Amino acid sequence: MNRFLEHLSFCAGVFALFLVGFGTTSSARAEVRVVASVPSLGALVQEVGGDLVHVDTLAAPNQDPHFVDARPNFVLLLHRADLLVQVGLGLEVGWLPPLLTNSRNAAIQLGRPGNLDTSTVCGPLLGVPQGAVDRSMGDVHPGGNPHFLYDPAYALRVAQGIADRLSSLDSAHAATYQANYHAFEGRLQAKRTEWQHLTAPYHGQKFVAFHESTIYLAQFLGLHEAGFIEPQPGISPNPRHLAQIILSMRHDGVHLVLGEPWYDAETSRVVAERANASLVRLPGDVGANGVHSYIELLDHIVRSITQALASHG
Amino acid sequence: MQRSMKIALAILWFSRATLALAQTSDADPPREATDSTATAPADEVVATDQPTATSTTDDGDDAGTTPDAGQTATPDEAASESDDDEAALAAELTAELGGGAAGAEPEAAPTPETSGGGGGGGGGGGGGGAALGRVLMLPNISLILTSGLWYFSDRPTRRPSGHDPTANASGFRFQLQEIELAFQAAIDPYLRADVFFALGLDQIEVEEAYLTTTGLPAGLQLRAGQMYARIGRFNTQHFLETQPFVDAPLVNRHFFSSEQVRGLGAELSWLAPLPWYVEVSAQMLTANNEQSFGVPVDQTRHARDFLAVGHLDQFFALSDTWSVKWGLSYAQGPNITGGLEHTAHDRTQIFGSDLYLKWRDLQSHRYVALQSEFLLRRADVEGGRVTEGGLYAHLDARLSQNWQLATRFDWLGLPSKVSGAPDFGVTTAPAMEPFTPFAQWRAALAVSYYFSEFQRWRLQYGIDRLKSGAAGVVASRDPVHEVLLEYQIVMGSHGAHPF
Repeated sequence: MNRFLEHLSFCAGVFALFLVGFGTTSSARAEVRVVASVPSLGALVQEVGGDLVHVDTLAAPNQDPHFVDARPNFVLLLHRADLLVQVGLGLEVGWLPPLLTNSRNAAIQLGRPGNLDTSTVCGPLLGVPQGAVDRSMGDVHPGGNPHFLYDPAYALRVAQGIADRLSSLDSAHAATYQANYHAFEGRLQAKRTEWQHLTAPYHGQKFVAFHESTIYLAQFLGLHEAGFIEPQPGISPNPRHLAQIILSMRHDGVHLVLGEPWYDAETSRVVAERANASLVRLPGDVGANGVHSYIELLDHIVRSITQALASHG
Repeated sequence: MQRSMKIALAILWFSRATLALAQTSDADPPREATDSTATAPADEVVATDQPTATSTTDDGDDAGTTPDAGQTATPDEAASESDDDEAALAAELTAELGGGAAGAEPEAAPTPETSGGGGGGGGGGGGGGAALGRVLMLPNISLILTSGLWYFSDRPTRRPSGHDPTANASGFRFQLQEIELAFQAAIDPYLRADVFFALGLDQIEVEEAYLTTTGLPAGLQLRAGQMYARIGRFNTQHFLETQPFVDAPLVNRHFFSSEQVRGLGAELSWLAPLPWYVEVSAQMLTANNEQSFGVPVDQTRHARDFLAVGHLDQFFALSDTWSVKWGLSYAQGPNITGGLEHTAHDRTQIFGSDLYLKWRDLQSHRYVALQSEFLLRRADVEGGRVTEGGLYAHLDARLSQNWQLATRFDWLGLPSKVSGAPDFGVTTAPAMEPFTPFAQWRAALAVSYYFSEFQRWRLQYGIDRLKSGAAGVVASRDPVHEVLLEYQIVMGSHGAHPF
């Protein structure tokens, strides 16, 4: 019996140590714990929150944000979070809802102050389907196209939304969040002027993208989407459709093919080659390909696209 | 086994090539007229004006082969050329990309399952697909239809009628496995509800219908209603959508018959405040499983009539791509071999361990997963005790957006031990013999093709060898060969996938 008690108290001691260790690491960390669904949102939170926040990101930078595994370790991050920042419009619908339920965290449930759906603050949504919508159109997003972070004007409004939400959750530091936001705005605006100079010569040119993720990017760069390698969103390309795309690219003088790293490189390469166009693999999200901030991400995209277009005179 | 692997791979490549050919040769004349819809799918209707321009110029203008020579050919030549060019180019592309347009991996589910609900307690679906539905405050509604055509070389054993392929004799059989109708929604800021009906041709059953709290303090969560018992991994899932096979593992069918273990009751679970994922849960459910347990809901009076289940889940993120989930289960409840008066002594216990190891390629939909469960049943019946174990292990590989390959092995009778002189007493049906130990194994190989996230075919070959069991009916027999062809569609809201 004594032996049993000895074991029991040893186990209890180990358990207590865990709890203490856990408690101290958490209190030593930053004050506001934020979980961002995708890396570029995480980067924006970091810009606005600075040292006052601790940011965790769920989707990996080189991963298709539509298709993330709902790994249980994400439940832990969400359980401890004060704020969840998500894209919305159904981008995360395949994996975030069960994580949110299992998080047992009332503060970050839908509609609570701790849950920020950035599609509600990003500005006018594009690609909202008109009329009846069903899956014969492929896997459409009925609320609108969720890839708005490709346009810095949208990202700026999202950053403002994050600053406002952080200010209300942590009102003691509201002034800092707003100041951080304005600093970020200043840097981003300066960059936007630079990007505008870079892209101006190519305004009105066309490109083909793999998936319909580029509608906001086209708006930002002053380019036009001339078609997609996927025949419909989420539907695998077939040779017939690819042939149509290639012929229309040749005909219309389309010199650019875009695709994120999670879309099939081989198909994109073949289309670009046969249409005498350049393939630009978009870098993915912040954290991939040596891109460490939101501004670096757009800088990388603008430079690779303008270089590709320049090579076609 | 190696041989059947090779055959399956050959079938896979053959059908892939056939499909690619079908797509290439499918020259449809009205295609040009619908060009604008083909190049500008609905998602972009508002903002894309380009594709319309493309289609109008396509009709009357040339489709010269180099961009620079764009304006030279006459409209007439171009109209006839463009069709030929397109077909020729499509054929070249098929050759270059190796069929199926290179099995490209754009947007589609890494896992096919939708509305996977139960797995890991508390389903998903909140904020689901139908935006209009959300505006109207409708719950997320989905309907999943699964049916199949089977061939058995002989009468199969341990294929109880229900959702598994079933037959009373050798030969072909068509079966509607299930139409699953699910409703999932938040009730108010504190609670959500998930309801799953299984519809058959002439019956409706409630598979699960439970409420889940979303904001209890201290990492606690309460569920109440009809729910699957958390015995292992398979038992908690709506397996027709989530598992890569047409049927359930043998050990689950042997211990729990045609349905998974489920009951009315409540569950309390706790997310431990540890640096890794540890979830502890306890359930009290009515013990109305037809095989291992057995007090009907309307005759449940005492605490001892309930099924008690304890489960411990742990998850380790080994890296961004490697994950391990490990579960331990214990369940204890009454069996009715001695009738309802003796349920205090006639108890069934289940010990279980389940392991799920997964590698996921982040940049595509490819993954490889190993799933294995061991279940041990100890049944105390009048005059003795029967101890029996069963194991399954499966390997599941998602090769691309469209293809999935899986193989499974099932064993029963590790161990198999009868002590005393057990009297199985009241058995509800002679064929069930709830506690007769079986010595049996099965092996299966399944290939699935997903047309899209919402439609798939699955072809499974299985071999089933019963060495002993089903006392009084069969002692030993030749292997049964099974060929199972299954079709599934998913309608409605896009549920989330449990890990």
